[in-house]
Amino acid sequence: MNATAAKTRLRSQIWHVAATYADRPAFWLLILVAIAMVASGFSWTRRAQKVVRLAIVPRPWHSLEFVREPEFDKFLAEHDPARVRGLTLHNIDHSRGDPMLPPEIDQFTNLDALSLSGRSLYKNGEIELMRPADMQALAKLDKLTYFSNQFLTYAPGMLEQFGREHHIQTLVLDRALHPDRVDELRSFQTVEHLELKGVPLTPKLIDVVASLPRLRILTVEQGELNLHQDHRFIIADEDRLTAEDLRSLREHPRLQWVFADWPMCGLTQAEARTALSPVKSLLAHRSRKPQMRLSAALLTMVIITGAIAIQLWTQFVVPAAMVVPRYTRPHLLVPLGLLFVGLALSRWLAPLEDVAHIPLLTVCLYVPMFLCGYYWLQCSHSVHVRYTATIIFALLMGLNFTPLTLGYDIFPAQVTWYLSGLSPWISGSVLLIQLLIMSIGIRHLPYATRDLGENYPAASPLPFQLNQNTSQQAYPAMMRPLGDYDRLTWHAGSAWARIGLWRRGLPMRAWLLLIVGFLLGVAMIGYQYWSGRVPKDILPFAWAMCSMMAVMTAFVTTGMWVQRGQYLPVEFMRPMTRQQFASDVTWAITLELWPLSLAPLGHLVVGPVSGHSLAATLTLFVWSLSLIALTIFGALLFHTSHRKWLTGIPATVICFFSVQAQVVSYFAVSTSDRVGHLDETITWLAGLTIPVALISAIGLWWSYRCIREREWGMG
Amino acid sequence: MSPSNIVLRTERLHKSFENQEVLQGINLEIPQGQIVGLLGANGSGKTTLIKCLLGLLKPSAGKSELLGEPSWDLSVKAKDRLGYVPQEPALLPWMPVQSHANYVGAFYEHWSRDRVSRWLKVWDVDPKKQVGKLSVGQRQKLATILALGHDPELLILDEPVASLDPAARRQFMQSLIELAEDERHTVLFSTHIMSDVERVASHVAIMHGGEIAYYGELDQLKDRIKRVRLTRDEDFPATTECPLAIHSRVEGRHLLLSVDRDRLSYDELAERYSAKLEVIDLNLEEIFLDLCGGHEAAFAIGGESTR
Repeated sequence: MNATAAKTRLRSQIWHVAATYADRPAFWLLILVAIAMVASGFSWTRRAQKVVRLAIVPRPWHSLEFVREPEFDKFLAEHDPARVRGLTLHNIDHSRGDPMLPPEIDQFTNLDALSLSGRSLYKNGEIELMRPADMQALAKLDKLTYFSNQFLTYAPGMLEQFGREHHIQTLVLDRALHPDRVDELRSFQTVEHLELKGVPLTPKLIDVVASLPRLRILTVEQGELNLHQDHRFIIADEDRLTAEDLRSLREHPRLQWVFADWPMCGLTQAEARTALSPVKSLLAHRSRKPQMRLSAALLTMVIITGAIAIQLWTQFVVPAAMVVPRYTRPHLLVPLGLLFVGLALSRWLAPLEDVAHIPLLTVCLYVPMFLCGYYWLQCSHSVHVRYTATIIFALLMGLNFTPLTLGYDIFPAQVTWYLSGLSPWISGSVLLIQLLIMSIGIRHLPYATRDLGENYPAASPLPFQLNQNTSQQAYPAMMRPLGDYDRLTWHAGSAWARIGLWRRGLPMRAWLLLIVGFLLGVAMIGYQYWSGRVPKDILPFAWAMCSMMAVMTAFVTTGMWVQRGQYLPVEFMRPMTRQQFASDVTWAITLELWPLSLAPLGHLVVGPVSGHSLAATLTLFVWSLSLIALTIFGALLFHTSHRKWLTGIPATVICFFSVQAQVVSYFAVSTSDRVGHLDETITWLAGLTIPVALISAIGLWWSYRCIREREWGMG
Repeated sequence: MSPSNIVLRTERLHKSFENQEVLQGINLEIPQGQIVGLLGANGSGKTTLIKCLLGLLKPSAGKSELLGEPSWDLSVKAKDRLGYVPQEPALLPWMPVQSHANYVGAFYEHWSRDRVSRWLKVWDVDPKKQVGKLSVGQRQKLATILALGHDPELLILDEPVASLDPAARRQFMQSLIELAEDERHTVLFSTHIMSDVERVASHVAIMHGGEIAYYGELDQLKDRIKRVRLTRDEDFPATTECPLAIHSRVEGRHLLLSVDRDRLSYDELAERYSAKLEVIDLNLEEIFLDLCGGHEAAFAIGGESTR
C-alpha cells in the first residue's frame, strides 16, 4: 500500500470515528470536564525535572548469594569462597560471641559486594554490635565496593576504620548508624551512593554528607528509630531544616539526587523545598497535595473511561458491528485518545518532580486497561476463565482505587522505584501491554450485541429476539460443597432443611471468596520473600487485605440479592407460606454471608496493631460498614425504582469506591504526613461517620422494606 | 357449575402501577378440567393478571382466589397443587438438569422422580447436561417439566411457547393435551399464537385494555362471531356504520361486518341495508383482531362466565 492510500485510509477512519462521536454530547461534555480539570491544575512555569535513569541504590552487577547465617557452613562446603563475588549474610546471630561474624568470612577474598543483616536492632533489649574481631575479618575483604548493613551497629570508631580501609562506592546503613556517630561517615571518601535509614537528616548529618567529595546520590529515611508509641513521628522543632541548612547539599559539586523519605517532606514542604531544587528529588508522593492530585487523576480517568465505554458500547451494540468486516478497527483510535488524555494528566502532574511521565501514564491507564481486560476475559468461551476473572476483578477492585495509599504501605520501595521512572524498560513494557489489552478489549465490544441480547434481553437497546439455536452461557457455581444434589429429599416441613435448600440455590460461596482473598495475600507475601525482602511489615498488608475483603462484602451481598431476585417469582411458588419464604431466603443469605463479616472484623482487629490507633481503626471500620450498606442500599433502590440491576449495581459500586478511595486516601495521607493531622482527621471523619452510618442503616432498612413489599408483597 | 369446582376466580380485580391501571376490574371463573388460552395484545395485562392470580403481585382492589384460597395467602397445601412456568424460565444455570430437578423436588412432598425422568426423555432433554448449556427451547421444556414434577392440579404458563420453533411448539402443545386428558388438571396459558390455542384450548379468555373482552368455549366463540358481507347494486356511503357490529368496513358495493350472532340477526341486517347477505366463518386470529382492534361494541360481548 502506498503512502497516499494509507493517508487516505487513515483520514477516512478518523472521519468515521469523529462522525460516530460527533453527536454524543455527553461524551464531549465529559471530555471537556476532564480537560478543564487538567487545565486548572496545569503549571506552565514548572517543568518536570530530568529523570536520572539509575537505581536509587545501584545493586551489584552480579547477584548476591543469599545465605542465612545458620546455613553458612553448608554454603561453604558447596562453594569456593574465592569465587564468590557477592554475598548476603542474613540473620546473623549476635549471641554467638566474639567475633559475631563467621570467622570464615575472610576467605571470600574476591568479594565485591557484601550485605549483612542481623535479626533485630532492639530484640530482647540487646544491641547487636560489630566487634573488633569482625572488623579485622572485614578488613581482609579489600575488594569490597558495595557494603550493606542492616541492624548491626558499631562500637565507636569501628565504622570510621572500615571506611578508611575500603574503597566503598555504595554504602547502605539501615538502622546501623548511631545518630551521634555520623561523623564517622567522613572516612568514606570514595562513596558515590549513600543510603541511610533510621538517621534523621539533621544539620550535622548534612554537614558530614556534604564533605563526601564523590557523593552523587543520597537517600535518607527516618526509619523507625523515632517512632513514638502512638505511631507518630516525633520531630522536634529544633530539627526543622531551613534553606540555609540545605545550602551545603545544593552547592555540592557532584550530588545530583537526594531522596528523602516522608518525615523530610513534612520538614521541607515550605521554603526548604524550593531551596533544595535542583539537586534533590523528594519523594513528593508522600505529601498530601500531589497524592490527592494523583487520586483525582485516577478518578478522572474512571470518568473518562466510563464515558468512552458507554459511547463505544452504544456504537457497537448494533448488528452491523458483528458482521461488517473491520467495523471496529477505526475505533481503536480511541485508546490512542485515552493515551493523549493520560499524557495531558501526566503533564498536569508534572510538578511531582520524582514521578516520571511514563509510569504516571501507566497509572492513569490502569483503570481503563483493567476494565478492558476484564471485558475481554468475559468474552471467553471458558466459564472458568470468566468466573476466575470476575473473582480477581472484584478482589482487586478494593486496591485499584487506592493504589497510591495502600500500595505504598505494602510495597513502598517498589512503588517508589517504579514511579520514579528508574526502570524505563519495565514502565514502557507495562504501557505497551496496557495499550494492547485495551485494543483487544475494544475489539471485543461488538460481542456485547450477542451477550446482552441473549443473556439480558431486557437491557439490550435493540429489540432482540432470542435465538433458539444459541445456547445460554453456562455459569457454574463457584463451588458445590453442600453435598450431593441427587440425594436430596423432601424437607418434611423443617425450616432448617428449607434454609439449607435455599442455600444450595446460591451460586456463590462467601467463604470461598475469603479463601481466594487469603491465597492472594499469601501470594503477595510470597512475592516479597521471592524478591528478597523480608515481610517485616506484614500487618499493614493484612490490614489492607481485610479492607479489600470488606469491599468484597458489598459486591457479594449485592450479587446474591441480584441472583435471588431473578428466581423469586418461581421460587415463591414452592409450597410454603409467604412468611416462611421470606424468612427462609433471608436466613439462607445471611448464613451464607456471615463469613464475610470476618473481613470488617479483621479490619477492626488488625488496624490498631498495624500502626493505626484504635480510634482511627474504629472510625474506618464504621465507615467501611456504612459504605457497604450504602452500596447495597443504592443497588436495591435502583432495582425497586427502576427495575434495573444492570445500571444500579455499577453506579452504586463506582460511587462506593470513589467515596471509599477518597476517604482512605485522605486518611492515609493525613496519618502518614505530619504530626497533628491524625487527630484532626479522626475528629473530622468521626463527626461524619455518625450521620453516614445512620443514613446507611435507615437506607438499608428502607430498601429492605421496599424489596419485601415489591418482591414478596409483605408490608 | 358448583362453586367447589372452581379452581380460579377473580372478582372486580384491579391492579395499577404508578397511576396506570393495568387491570380494570377482571371477573373470571375457571372450573376444573379446562384448558384455557389467555389471549391478548402486548400490554393488555396478561402477565399482570397471572401474577395477581399467583400472589406475586398484590391487587390494588378486588378479589383473587386460587384453588379456593385467597391468592395473596396461599397455604402450603394450595401451593403443593399448583405449577407455574414464567415467561422467562428461571433456572439455575450451573446445575446439571437432573440435579436441578432433584433440588426442586426436595421442596415438594409428592414429587415424582419417575414422572420427571419420563418427561425429560419424551422431550429429549439430557439429564446430565448443564442447564446453562441448554437451548432456549430446552430450558422452556425443563421449566415446564419442573412445574409438572409434583403433578399439579392447576398449571399456569405465561407464554410458554414464545421461544419455541414450530415443531417444538406442536410437541409442547400435544403434551399439554395429554396432561389435560386427566380431568383433574386445569391449565391456564397465555400466548400470542392463535393456532396453538385453536389446537389445544377448550376455552379462551381474551384480554383487551385490562379487561376480559371474552371468556367462553372456543367453539362457541367461533360459532358466534361471524363476518357478514352485504352486497347491493349501488355503493355504500363511506360513513356507513352498524352500531351493534364489532367491526365494519365499506368496500364500494360491499359492506363487511364482524358481528356477534347473538346480538344481531342476519335477516334484520339484510333488511336494514336492502342487500344480499353472505356469512363467512372466521378463524380465531381474525376474531381476536376484530375484538381487540374493533370499536367499543366488541367489548360488550358476554361469555358464559363473564359478568
